[in-house]
Amino acid sequence: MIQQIVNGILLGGVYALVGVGMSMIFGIVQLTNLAHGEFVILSAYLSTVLCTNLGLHPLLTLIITVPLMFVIGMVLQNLLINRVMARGSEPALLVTFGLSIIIQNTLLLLFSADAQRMVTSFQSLSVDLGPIKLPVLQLLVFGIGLVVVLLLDLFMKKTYLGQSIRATSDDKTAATLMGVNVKHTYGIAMGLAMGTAALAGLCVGMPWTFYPTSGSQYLIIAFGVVVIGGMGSIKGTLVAGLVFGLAQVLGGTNYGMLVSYAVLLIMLIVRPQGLFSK
Amino acid sequence: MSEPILKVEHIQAKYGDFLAVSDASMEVPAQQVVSLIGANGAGKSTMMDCVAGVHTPTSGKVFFKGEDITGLPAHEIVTRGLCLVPQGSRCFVRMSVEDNLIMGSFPKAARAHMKDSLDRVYELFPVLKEKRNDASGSLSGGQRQMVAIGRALMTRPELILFDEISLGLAPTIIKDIYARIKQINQEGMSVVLVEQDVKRSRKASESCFVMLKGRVVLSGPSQELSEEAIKNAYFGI
Amino acid sequence: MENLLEFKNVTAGYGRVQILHDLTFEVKKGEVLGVIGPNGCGKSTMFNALIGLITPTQGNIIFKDHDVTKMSANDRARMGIGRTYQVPRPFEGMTVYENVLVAAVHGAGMSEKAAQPKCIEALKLTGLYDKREVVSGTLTLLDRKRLEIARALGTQPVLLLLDEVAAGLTEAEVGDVMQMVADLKAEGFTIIWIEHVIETMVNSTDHLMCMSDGTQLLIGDPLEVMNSKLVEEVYLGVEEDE
Repeated sequence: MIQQIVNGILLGGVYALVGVGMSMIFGIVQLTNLAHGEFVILSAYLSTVLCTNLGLHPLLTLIITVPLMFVIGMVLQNLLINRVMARGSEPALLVTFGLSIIIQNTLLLLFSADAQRMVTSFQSLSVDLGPIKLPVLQLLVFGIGLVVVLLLDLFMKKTYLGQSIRATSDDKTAATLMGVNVKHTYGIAMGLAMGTAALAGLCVGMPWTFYPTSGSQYLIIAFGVVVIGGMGSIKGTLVAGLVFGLAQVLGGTNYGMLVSYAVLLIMLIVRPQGLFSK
Repeated sequence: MSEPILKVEHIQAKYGDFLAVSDASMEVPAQQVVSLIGANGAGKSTMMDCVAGVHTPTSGKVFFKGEDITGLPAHEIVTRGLCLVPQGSRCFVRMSVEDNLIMGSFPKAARAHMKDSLDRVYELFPVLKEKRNDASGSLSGGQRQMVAIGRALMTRPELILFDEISLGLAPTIIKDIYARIKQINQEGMSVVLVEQDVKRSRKASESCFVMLKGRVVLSGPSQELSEEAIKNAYFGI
Repeated sequence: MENLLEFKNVTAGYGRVQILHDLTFEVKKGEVLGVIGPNGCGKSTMFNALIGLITPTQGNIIFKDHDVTKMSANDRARMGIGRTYQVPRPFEGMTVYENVLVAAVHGAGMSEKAAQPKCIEALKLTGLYDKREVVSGTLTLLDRKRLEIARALGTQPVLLLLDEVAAGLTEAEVGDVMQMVADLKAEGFTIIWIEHVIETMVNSTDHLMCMSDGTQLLIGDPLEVMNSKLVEEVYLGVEEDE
């Protein structure tokens, strides 16, 4: 039982990482990014390619994937989504849906529908703590998730840029009156969200196999995390990730996802604004 | 008299085909307090939004310190030294009082003076210092207005526009806020007061502009305009 | 003349926030009552209480000699209370005629056949007859406001509530609106008209009510109301002692 709770918590850290980018875009840009799952999987493929072709250690691929995804996010927001958003939120939603289809099919074309997985040297290592076993890989991805979410929270509270992002999500017009360029801020937010997607891609690509179509699976997890955590709350994302992960592990292999979604549904009924909503 | 700090020339502004300002002009002499009065829906707020860059006029010009700023985005206009305190304060409700104020020093030129500006705002509104760690959403209406004013001061403006700052506030609080505005003006800042309350704004200002149905229909030195004339202009009868 | 509508000491609001306090006034059959007052004085809340969107906690609303205080919004609409909204929201993909027809069929519960002549009448009254086949999304603001009134007329009202129909219009267009209201009055409609453009109120209403803090401050001859000290203080502020 304790082992299962530990497993659930470790899983939750990764889920928080998968959800945090989507939550940010929800809260700041007020956009439901339906391509978030694909961004995660795209990053997983990127890391895999860098591993196999350049012989990089999986962790080192982050040096390339995170900045790359950040830039792609900024460009995407500035060139495409900002323009479409001027015509309302539905067109923007459809654009992200379109993006998800494009990414999925491009991956299919390039990598076929075969399962992929990044192999690491510490794949089967684990730390024994008496009754509990901590797999190093799970511990690592949990750690990455935790650190990223906490750093992001700190960034939002302690830097001018982070503050301007929070201010924009609170009141766009008032933020512009303080000299904040809202479109630019949206670009940064999307860049950051994509950066977290790059990290999430690695963190799901190391322990689990993935396919070009796996994005939708992670989109749904991200959705769950966003809803439970309260849209746009970074710390809420962390707690929600843990709740979601725990629910899944405690539900067992057969009913894991079912239990997670039952928790999600109950949350929607009891506290539709999320645990840490604005 | 020297060049006015703000000159608005024949602006027209619409929301879709809703005509909010049809033809309005006004001038603000440097270091003066000017009031812009008019009933609900006269177009005062839209006019201020056009000046601050929140809304783009369909025609006409806005000059600030002699430069044409028509159609510039709000985030650029504020860096030039013109700041609007919008109607209803519009604090960042989930951020603390101090974080709200710090946001005001977001413009690059204001950042270096952040500490000084913050001290000055706390001096002006001591209650904000007491509540600096509280979420601004938990404050009273009057205190929120103080946050909004403080936040605007943090941008280090030369001209500050107050859009219906007294709306919904108790008379004693209004009096206090007006006293602070007077103080701000005496320190050299030019001020525009947008008000529905004619008597109060007339008393607080050196010159006065009256709007009716999207036009400025009357203007002059506040003390020289008769109450009767203002009233007729205000109601259009 | 007999009263069509009476508000008797109505107190109402949203949740625990009371907006209207002891509001009392009456509207005679066939008259135009103008309503003015500063922002937040309760004008729109009065409309909401009248059409049944909110239920008063105290007092009574009498319409056509029936106490409608607790009656549902639907039932009141069928009794003949029709309202327009500040911001017109027609079904943009439908033609002008279809918009009015939908209002008549669904609002007044008429069959499509019975509704047709009524719709034509409503379109003629509002000056939209020639534009009946135009898709409403392409209309100008003035025409959208006309359509808003035509839709209200489609529900076969006896009492017509107008909410800031003159806002955002040019001066010439405001003149058109005043003419339309005069035409509607001549047709026998009773009208309550909320408006900020005071000039229209003085020229087009039989009586004017100035509201303040959720209650009636003064009701009477429009010019007399506008010239009263009380109304002046509500709008222009009170002289403060230093």
